[in-house]
Amino acid sequence: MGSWEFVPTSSGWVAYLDAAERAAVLDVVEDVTELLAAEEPGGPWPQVQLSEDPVTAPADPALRRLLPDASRGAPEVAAEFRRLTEGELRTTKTGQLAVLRSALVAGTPEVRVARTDAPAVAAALTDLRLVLAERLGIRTEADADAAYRLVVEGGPLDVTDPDGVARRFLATVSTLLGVLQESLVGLMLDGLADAAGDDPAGDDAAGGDAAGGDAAGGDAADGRSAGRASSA
Amino acid sequence: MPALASPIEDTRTDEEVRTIPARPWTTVVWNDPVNLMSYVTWVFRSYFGMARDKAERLMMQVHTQGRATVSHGSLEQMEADTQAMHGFGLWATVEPAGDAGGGGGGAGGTRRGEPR
Repeated sequence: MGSWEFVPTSSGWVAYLDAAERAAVLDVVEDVTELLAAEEPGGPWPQVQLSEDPVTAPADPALRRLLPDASRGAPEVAAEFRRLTEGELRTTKTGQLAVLRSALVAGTPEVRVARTDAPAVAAALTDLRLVLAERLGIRTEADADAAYRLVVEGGPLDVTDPDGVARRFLATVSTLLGVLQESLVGLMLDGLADAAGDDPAGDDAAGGDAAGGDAAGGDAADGRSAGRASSA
Repeated sequence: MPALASPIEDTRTDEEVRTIPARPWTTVVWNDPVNLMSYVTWVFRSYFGMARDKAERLMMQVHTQGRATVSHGSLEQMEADTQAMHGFGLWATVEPAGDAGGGGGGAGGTRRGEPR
């Protein structure tokens, strides 16, 4: 098993996943990429021109979470926003997933992310977690806690219960993705603190171009278990 | 104090009236059980350029009250902010300013410039 957490190195931010973990994450990347190409008006390719026709919200709740309504009280505002922006949003998200996929297939066992790619990777990890959460029926923070407990204290698997096995698998991948994201975002926040010069404690961080990595500056992320990372 | 002789005349052209926003709008970010507190803070800091304290305060407002107003300005700018939030994986909506509907309403968040 890999250590999962991103750590700063002299050549970028690196996490270690074993082959099975990397394959599992790649499967979800493929699934979500396909999902984003589905239910697309006019076909599975990015729209090259704006449709004149109304674009209805996706039927699949997971896809709908990736492409949410932009208004809660005004359906006509949400519909117009969707008509104007949904194709572009699908393209953005598919591109972010491609950046994550490149990092996953480039190295073994390292998953290496350049600073400049980190925002796209973090956004892609969010989308993977949103889809898995929807598939797991996670609607509340209590649901999320229950899924995490299933991973860490679920006990032996009952292999005669395929639904239970599938659920445990999805919850485990979701937890792995949470650890990857929490650790990556911690490094990204440290980078912001460096840039803004508002982190006087950060200058004792390890050398190299990844300065500010794991020293005292990570106050926005510390004190929380990365496994069942706190959600907002 | 003498009363005004007559109401101030509205000398704006139709074109000007059309380009002046009828009312301000806001971008509201909604809570969900998936997004990490640290990631939401990072999005607010990096996209809106908020200071750390403000970003963390608004993130906590989303977390505890279910929603927070993160920007206000023209409808066009709020639509751009909302689309950006969706790109990050946060659920945001465009709302008329001053709409009731829970904590975080009103003219909170970041004042956005007029659209180009």
